[in-house]
Amino acid sequence: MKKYWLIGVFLLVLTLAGCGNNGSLTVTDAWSRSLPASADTGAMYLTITNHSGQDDVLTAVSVSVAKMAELHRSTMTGDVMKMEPLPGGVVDIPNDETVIFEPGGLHVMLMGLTAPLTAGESFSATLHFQNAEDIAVTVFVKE
Amino acid sequence: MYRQLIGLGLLLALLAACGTYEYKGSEYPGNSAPDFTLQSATGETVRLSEQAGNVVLLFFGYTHCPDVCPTTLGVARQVLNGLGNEAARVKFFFVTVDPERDSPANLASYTAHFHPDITALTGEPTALAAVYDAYGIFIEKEMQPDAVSEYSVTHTARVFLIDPQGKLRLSYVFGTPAEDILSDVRYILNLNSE
Repeated sequence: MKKYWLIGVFLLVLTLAGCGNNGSLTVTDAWSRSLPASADTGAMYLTITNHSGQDDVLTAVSVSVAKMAELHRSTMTGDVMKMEPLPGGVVDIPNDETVIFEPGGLHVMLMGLTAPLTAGESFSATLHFQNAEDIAVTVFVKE
Repeated sequence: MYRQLIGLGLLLALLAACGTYEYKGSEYPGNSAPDFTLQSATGETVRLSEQAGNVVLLFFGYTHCPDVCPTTLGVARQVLNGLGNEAARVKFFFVTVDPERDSPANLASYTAHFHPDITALTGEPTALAAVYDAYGIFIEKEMQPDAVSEYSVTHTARVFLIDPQGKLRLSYVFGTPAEDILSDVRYILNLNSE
């Protein structure tokens, strides 16, 4: 009996130890590109996987290094790149799907940077969802 | 008999190896690139026609651009680093599409962050408008009333390649890997090596 109890505790600890995971949505690979100290605007990218059993919506992101963070998408029509806020300022994260924020596509636009984005450093961000609880992540700044 | 066949086989293999290089970028007919005269962020006059002997990579963007421009300048960094010593014969020009907010000082620190060999260019509105027009650069301000940064600029995001003879030869759509641009630049530099 003791063996099963220990295995149970072990599995529970493993589950709770998942980083950036509130048990239903997983956020991985949060990163940002380094910029000169004079830059006012930056971007953040990440990957969200939804195994919660229901559709969800990313409604907002707050970051420690900028006054505002908004959800945007770059779209290319021919040769022209346009960047626009997403309708309603939100991103759908359907159940059983992975949504990737990456250069040239979805990104979190960081506006009014209050600290420089320096390669090798990191900052914190919190993702807010319609259904799931907030997820806090560490965003790594790459060159 | 067999020796002759082997010899012929080797010759054919060599000929096949010396196949024509296929450019990775979109090719232009090879007419002279439209000349322009703009100012660097440090106030120097920069004329495209004075870049003879160098390969020029030309990109139009702005410093408040959160995604596309940093990504492209990151690619520029990879290309310039990949060239090693040959980078001395390559100029990467970043022409602002947002002269209202892109002060020379901001432009200088912005491009220097990515690579010291990237040159930011700006100028009087009429001079810039002429260059945008000559290269078919679409530019449109998109107001972002709730945002701290007021507006974004929708713009053509191609990188243009002008060869050492001043001919507009190639361009690269946004998202082209650095290795592809590097390959074409190296090939053109070798065609024009002294």
